[in-house]
Amino acid sequence: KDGKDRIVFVTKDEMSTPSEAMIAMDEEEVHDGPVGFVQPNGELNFGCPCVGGLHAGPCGYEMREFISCNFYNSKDKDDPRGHECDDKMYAMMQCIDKHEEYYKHKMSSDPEDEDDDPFAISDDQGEEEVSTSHIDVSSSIVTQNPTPDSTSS
Amino acid sequence: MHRLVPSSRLFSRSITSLPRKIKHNNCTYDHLCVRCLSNQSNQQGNHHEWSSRHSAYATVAATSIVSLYLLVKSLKRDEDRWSCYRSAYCQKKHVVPGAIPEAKASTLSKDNNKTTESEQTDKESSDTELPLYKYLIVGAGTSSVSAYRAIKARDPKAKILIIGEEPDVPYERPPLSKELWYVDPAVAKEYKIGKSKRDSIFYEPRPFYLSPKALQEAENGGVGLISGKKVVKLDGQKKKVWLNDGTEILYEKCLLATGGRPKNHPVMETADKDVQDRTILFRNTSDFTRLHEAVEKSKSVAIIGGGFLGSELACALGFKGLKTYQIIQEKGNLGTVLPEYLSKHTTEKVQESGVDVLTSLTVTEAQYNNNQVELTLSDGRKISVDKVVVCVGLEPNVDLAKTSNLELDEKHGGFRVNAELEAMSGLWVAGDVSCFYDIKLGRRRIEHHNHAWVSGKLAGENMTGASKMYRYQSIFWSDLEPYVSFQAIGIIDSNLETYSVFEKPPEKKRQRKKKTKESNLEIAKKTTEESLGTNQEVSKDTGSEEEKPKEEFNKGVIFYLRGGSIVGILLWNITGKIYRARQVISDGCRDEDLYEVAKLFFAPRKRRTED
Repeated sequence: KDGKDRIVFVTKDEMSTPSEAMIAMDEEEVHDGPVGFVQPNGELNFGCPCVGGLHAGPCGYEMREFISCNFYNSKDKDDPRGHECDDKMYAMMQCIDKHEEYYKHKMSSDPEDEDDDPFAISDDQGEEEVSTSHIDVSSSIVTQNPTPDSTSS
Repeated sequence: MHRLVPSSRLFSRSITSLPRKIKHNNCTYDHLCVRCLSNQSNQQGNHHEWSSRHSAYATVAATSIVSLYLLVKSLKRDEDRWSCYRSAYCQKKHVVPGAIPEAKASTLSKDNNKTTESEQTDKESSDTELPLYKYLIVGAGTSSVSAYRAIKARDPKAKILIIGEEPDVPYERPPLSKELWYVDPAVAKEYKIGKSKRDSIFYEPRPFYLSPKALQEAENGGVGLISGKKVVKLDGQKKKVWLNDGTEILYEKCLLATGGRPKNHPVMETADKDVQDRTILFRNTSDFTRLHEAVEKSKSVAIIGGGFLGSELACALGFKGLKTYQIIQEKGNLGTVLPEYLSKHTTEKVQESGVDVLTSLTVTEAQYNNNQVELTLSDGRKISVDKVVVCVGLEPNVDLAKTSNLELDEKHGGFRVNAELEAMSGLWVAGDVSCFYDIKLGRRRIEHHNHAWVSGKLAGENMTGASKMYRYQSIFWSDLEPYVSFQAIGIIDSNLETYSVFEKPPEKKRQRKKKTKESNLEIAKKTTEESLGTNQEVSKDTGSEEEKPKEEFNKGVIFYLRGGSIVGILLWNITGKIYRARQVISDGCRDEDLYEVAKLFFAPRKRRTED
């Protein structure tokens, strides 16, 4: 004990016995809003940290429209090639051409980059950004690797 | 609303009908006018009756006509006024060809705008010529970025204008005292922590941000940026800001994220110019550049301040090979944050990193001497260095309060806001400058990066109607390379009572032993006297072989306690447990055995389905 500060030293073994502590937590205090890009109800969450600033860019709206369209139509068996969203894709491409300067920078290939498409719809959301962005809501104890150096959180 | 004014056609119809009625009343009856009445002497009885009734009708009719006429006239006036008002209202929303030199935009637009009308209305009052933005952010730092992302996510076509004083686009601050010092200098010069494009500290390159004009014309919204300008006045009721170049801008919702500027040391502030030229108040990219360049030319540096910034820079400069002094007022590095024993330990580690840490000392004088700065310390010692870096704290940028009648918090500094980060309707404050009410931990102001991000995001969500309180706690971390690394959440104040559990390093057969008087640590014995009923283990107390005077604080968790609850958690060299820390803070663990709670942070990484 150092005055008001109590210190306990333990061995690794002592610490690996299961804890008896009971923790009751408030969802709002452990999750910062909806988690992940694809929500349990099937909707897309553009506030996901994985989106980064893409939806806020000069063509953010067009991209959002196209991606949403693509996502909802991907389930449509009648249109396997996704022609339903052609107009939205065209609008997006036009916008990108207009803002070439920014998107050229964004889209250009970078040998150092191991780019992971955040919009690839898969079950595994990936462990990209900081802590709570990809928590599997059903599990209460989640393995985390907070990456404080990440730029988007 | 214009429907309330009945159409003039209706009135005209009713007006024209009346004279006919009146006429009908007066003279369709044979000789039943006043003239006639006077002539109707022989039909007196009936005529009298008729005439009196008739005169009554006449007067009524006359008054009705007159009053109706007056009524119609006044309504017409109102209608004119109404259409005036309507156009003024329109003009407020739909600006007229532009008065503003900065924003050459000629039209303002709302999401549901009527731009065609605006060009026809004339300039009635000066306010109607000003550009209006739905979302305005004052300050171009981290909070602004998370705010605009949150706004755009919830309001997809939003137009957001950011006004920043610094010449740079928004960037991430932590690398300026951490990563940038440990990468290749050529890469660091460009403010990148790696060779990849994504390793830039800037959140977005400049082309991401639209000019104010382009922003106004952007049909589907976007984010605009004005760099190098300062907002000098804000009127929360008129929802108007004034820039330092005279520009006036109207807004609907505004976020203040003005951050802070570094405090100066009283001695350095009043020193000679030669001394001041060699002093850096570290905060921005330009300060980083200055110090980074100085490293190549200098041999020695003194850092005044023992907090996060000072300690991180000290380790970085020590790493770079400079003779580094760190002058600390407290007893050890991070003395205001870590419990004393840990602060002492940290100081030792910083010293091992190559820094000469001078504790419990202040600078009393600073003189220019032979191309160096000679600092005199409070114990009389003098040290001479090539450069001085001052890291003594942050002054929140609350200049706006003087001109804008915004409430300041005296205890914590910063603008005072509620739990939803709102100062008044339509005005939010986030980041370093926000003194907000945390419903769990009380009123606070936090100067860390993750808080800037979390509060900016929350403010952005609330600006789009979320009405959320600050409940999700922000974290902070520090890396004092290469030995010390920790993450923390909640209130981390060395004045609070703490309870810590450290894991002994496995390799060494270290045995517990009673501490010497100097280090003043005691191994807790198993007792039941503790008020919280915590179990305190005693290690196997076989005779120790190697008597080391100091304990190794290898890996551990520190709980900061207030009123019996855990209000802060510091994870010392433990990673991947922030989520768990959040859970613990959320719970508070008043009645828990803290030893058991601590175990949660040492458990190996695995998924559990139940908690």
